[in-house]
Amino acid sequence: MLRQIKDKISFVSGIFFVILSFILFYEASTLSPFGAVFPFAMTTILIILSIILIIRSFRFEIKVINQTISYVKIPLLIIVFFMWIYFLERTGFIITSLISFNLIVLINSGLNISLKRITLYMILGSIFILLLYFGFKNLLLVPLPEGLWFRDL
Amino acid sequence: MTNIFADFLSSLSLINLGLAFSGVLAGIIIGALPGLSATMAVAILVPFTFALEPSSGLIVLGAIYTGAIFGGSWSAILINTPGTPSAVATTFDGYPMAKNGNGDLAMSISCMSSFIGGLVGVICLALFAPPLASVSLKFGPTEYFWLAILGLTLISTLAEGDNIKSLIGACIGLLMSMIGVAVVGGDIRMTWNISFLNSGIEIVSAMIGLFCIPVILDLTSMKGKHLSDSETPKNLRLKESFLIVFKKKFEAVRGALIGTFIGILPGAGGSIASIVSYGEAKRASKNKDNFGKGEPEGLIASETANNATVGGGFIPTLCLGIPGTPPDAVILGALLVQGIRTGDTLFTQQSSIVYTFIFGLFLATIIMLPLGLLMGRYAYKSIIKIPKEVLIPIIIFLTIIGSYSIQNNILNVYFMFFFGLVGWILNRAGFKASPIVLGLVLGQIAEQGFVQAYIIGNAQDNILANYFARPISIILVIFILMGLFLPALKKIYNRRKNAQTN
Repeated sequence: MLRQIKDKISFVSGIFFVILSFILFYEASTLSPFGAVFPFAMTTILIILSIILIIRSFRFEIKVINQTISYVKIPLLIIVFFMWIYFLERTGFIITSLISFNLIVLINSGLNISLKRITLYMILGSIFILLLYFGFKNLLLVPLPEGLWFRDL
Repeated sequence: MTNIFADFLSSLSLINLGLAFSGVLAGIIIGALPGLSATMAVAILVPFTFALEPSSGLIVLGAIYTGAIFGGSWSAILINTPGTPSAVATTFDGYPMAKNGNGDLAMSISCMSSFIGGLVGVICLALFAPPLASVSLKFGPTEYFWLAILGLTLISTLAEGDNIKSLIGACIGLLMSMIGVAVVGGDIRMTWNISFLNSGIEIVSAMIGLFCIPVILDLTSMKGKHLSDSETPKNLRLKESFLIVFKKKFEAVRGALIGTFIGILPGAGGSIASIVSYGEAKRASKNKDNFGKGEPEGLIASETANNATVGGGFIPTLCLGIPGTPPDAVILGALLVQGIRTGDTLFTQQSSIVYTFIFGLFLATIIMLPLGLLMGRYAYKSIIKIPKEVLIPIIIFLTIIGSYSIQNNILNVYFMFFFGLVGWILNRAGFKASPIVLGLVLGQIAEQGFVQAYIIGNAQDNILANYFARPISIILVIFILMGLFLPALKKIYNRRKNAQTN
């Protein structure tokens, strides 16, 4: 049967959404009638559409053209991005942003760019961050996290 | 008449002109930054207006709103991320135009279209506000439900990519909108004991994540430049864009009228307006197959409609005290603080302030054209020169600051990140972000309309008639069916015709 599947991505997606729909349908069954009517309707429609997708995956494939993945840069970027958010309130907006921003510049620069150019990017990026920080904090009066060490800044 | 002329002169004072200019400038910049929406732009700058005269304060707010809605198209065109929810449809053709080396043309067309849309909206506000406001009262829960469904079916059939996957995306968006407290009944749904989710998913955070993160991750993997520069000129191809917009002038006015009409429906907003306008433009166009691949007509339809909602949205806000769009809600608050009473007497007893405001809005729209073209020229040239290595962290930085600033809550940033990763995976499986975002935006409108219509129909002992027998509902249902089945029927008809010819 697996060999008969022409569009594996659609097949897997369809299965996933059928399972998700059943989980959400069960969740909705614990609600009051007014609270449940729309979730019931949407999960039912989702099940029907997912089944259509699964059936279609046996008949033909609709190719999805994707950007090729960089298996080094993307995981590194995701980790640094997450760390940026995680440390934002702990270390403070400025320090976290300066470190994370420059790390991401390094990740994306790779080995093809000269050290001088990377340094220039880091300096300009840091100036941009500082300008935006002070703009938000002092001009727009939007409080940004100061972290544990700079509470009175 | 003399009073109206005096109000017009009052709006032309040096202070008011300066305020309109500053408002448009600030609005464009804030609207262009992904993560900072028009609502945020207006909300952040409202306190600055309290020190001004009421009419001057309103002129600034209207100018910021106008600029922000237009500014949202810049990030939609340049990095495939709508700066505001109303610019979702701009990504369909704006970004492909930029990828094809026509980003400068797209920026100019967007500016001119926004100008036309803004003008039509303001003219309707000035001349037809009270009668148009009464039309909005004819829209009840049933009509709102069908309007939301129309928006969703249009996005699913018009957005680039697979129709079935787009419909699934819309369903996912609708299910996401149900997280939190139910609009009718008060049930707490799908929160899994996370108390932060009781208030639901913050739409702007989810939108930033779903649009921006996939772009960032794809840019990281991409070799070469993000966008190519066109081989021409330095002048943003003004003549070429003017000729394109002039050639499609009737289509532009149609889009503006759709935007104005949908703008007068409280809660409908620019996102539905731009989608419906885009759908109508595609349906009526001779270049249907080009839509989604960089067709200027699609861009014109989207941008005229979303800027027309600025004027249209003020109609119920001023006449009925019901905000047409979220920024109108903020401006309504500012109106009340200034002691202005909305309602049908506003145009008679406080006409001086109102007409000065309307003329100020008119001036802001006019100022937006040269300012938008000038800024657009430098912004476009600057952004394509920014190396990818710096552009990526800049976009990440803006997504973090944008999602944090909404409620000063780090959880919004986590959710933005989470939805971004989910959006990237779905994107790679062929599920696009725009149906999901629109499902999220329209979900509460659809559900509230559906359930309230059911309650009313039940009380009248005729549920089906309440859904299907009301005049406006019938028209909307016809449009929905046409949107769903007409493309498929046309395909079958063409296939049969070709088979017979062969």
